[in-house]
Amino acid sequence: MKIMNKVISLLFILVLCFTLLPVFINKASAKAEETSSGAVVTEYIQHIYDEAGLLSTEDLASLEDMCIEYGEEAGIDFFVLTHNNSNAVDGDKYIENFVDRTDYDNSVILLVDMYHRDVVLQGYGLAETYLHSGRLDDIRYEITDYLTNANYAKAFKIFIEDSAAYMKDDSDLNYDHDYSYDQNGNYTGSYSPETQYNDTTPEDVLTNPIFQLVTSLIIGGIVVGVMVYNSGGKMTTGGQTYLDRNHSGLIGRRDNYIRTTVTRVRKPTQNNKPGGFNAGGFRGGMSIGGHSHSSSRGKF
Amino acid sequence: MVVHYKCPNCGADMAFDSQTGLLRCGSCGRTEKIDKMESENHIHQDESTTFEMDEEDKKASEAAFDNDYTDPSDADEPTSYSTFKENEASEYHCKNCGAILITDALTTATTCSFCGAGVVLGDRLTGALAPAKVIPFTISKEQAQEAFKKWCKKGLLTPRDFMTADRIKNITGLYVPFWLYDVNGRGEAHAVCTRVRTYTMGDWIYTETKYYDVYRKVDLNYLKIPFDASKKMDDKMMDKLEPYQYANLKDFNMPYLAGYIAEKYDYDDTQLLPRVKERVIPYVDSYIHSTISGYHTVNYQNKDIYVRQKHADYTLFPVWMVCYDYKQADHIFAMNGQTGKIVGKPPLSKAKIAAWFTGISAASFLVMQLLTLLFGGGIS
Repeated sequence: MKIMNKVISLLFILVLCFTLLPVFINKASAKAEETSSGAVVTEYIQHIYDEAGLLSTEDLASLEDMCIEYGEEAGIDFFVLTHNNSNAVDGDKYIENFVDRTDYDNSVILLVDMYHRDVVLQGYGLAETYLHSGRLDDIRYEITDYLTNANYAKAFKIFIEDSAAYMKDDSDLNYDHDYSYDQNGNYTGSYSPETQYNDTTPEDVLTNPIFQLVTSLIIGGIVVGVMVYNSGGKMTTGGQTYLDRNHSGLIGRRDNYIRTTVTRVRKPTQNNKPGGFNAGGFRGGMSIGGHSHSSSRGKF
Repeated sequence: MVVHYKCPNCGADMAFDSQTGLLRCGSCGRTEKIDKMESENHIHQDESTTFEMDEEDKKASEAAFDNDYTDPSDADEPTSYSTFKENEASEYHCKNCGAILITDALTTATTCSFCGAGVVLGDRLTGALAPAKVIPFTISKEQAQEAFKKWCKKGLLTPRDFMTADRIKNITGLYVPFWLYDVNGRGEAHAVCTRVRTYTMGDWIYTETKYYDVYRKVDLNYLKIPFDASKKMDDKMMDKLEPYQYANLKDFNMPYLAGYIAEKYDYDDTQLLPRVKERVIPYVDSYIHSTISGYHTVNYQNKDIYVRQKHADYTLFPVWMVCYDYKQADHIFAMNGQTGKIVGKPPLSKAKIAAWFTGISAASFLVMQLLTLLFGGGIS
């Protein structure tokens, strides 16, 4: 099993390398352009990915400008992602994948998932320290009403302004980016017995020779027990044998629907647990690509 | 009254022949058709019989449970039953040789221990003691012996020296008294059932549980369930001898017993009723359960089952009793005299049990190891 895990992780890294390669190449070529022309050409980065089509062209342009303007001032990149895709992965994962893909180190990202009505914020790098989950929560509370009322441009504007404002506020920062604690301060990192237990998958138990030996002894016992029990002959007749089918049957039946209950649980994730807490009680997580981030999510 | 069948041809003793189903003279080979012979027993229908509701019927009618059913007394035939008269200590003499027949109080047919003639004690087979039906033997003594030897050899856990089957002490053809019950089972059940559906949407796994209020009411009739009415016979052993083929069920006539041992019942049909209910209630229960389908969970709120005897026939079933002597201990086996099914606890060999146990355990362990090798090795 361990070898299998290793192979899988190796494959994963390979795939990751191939997906990230174009990004590196793009960046490199952009830089080359800069030096060759001699003039300072600002590298164009798209900040608003409005896949859900929530913004007008004017709003889009003004928000892009805002992102560049505030971004220079705050020293981080602002990103706004929207989509209305029913098949998209969960919000937290969606942003993590975005970051893993683009490799923007210092950034704060807002995702509006129109399909699930989810709003998710994550801070990376510098923004993780300044825009920790507590501050992201505050921002989220402020914009949720605007989102609910479909005033998206306004909501995104507030997101950029507030985030930039927090970046200047040096009080009450979160330098602890290890989110292996739950809200009660219990360590849930990789050394915990729980995680170790998770390492032993059911298949490991099945391949355990002692388990197999015990199981085979039980099988042997049951089979021989049944043989002994049946050695004196067994009962071969039952209700069906003597039932008078022509004069038997149901004379009354009802199947009335009463109610429906629905419960839901989160799909178990393998690598990171979104919504982990650090010692200070701040939420955060880690993308598959190894980017640690703060996070806040809610509905609108 | 001793009934003895003498060959009208040569005067020798006649006995029932399981091969032909006829009364046969062992000496000259003359055969007589039994159904054509005059029946000597007359079933007296007792006019004074009244239908009495038993406790459960009363409960059922009070609970208005019976509303959906037809009136039970329409269809029921009360068991023919007249006052039971125990025979005074009368002595029976063999009509052939005049010797005293050794019988106990229950014997209805036997063979004269002196001359070997098959005799039937007619007065113990009349009135309330008259069997209504009989299934004649279809397996002869020799066939029974052969079948038993074959069965011994098949035993997977029996000791090797038992398998030779050469210690049969005696083998007796016995007509065992049974009551064949026609039973009506009624039941109703209320249950809360659920249908569960799980689906994933986004990052969530949803479990949707639909609740249903389910109600079932059944009216079931069971025909001719046999219960042995003999105190001597082990109930469990007799139950395991089933099934009997009812196509061969004949109206009772005394000549069927000629040459075999027969006994009269110890328990009448009302005395066996608790056993009938104990057996039939689970039948009704499982029938109700079988009508509730398409649900993931079934949780019964209440269940009422009433089992009522509609009719019972006193019947004699053919059984070969084999007494086998193994290591100074007698082992009793019973064989269905119609189908040849054998029941009874054979001696078990500890060595063979141990061998099977280790064999099966080792085999399953090997299979598991192999699977581990195949799958574990195949992927990683």
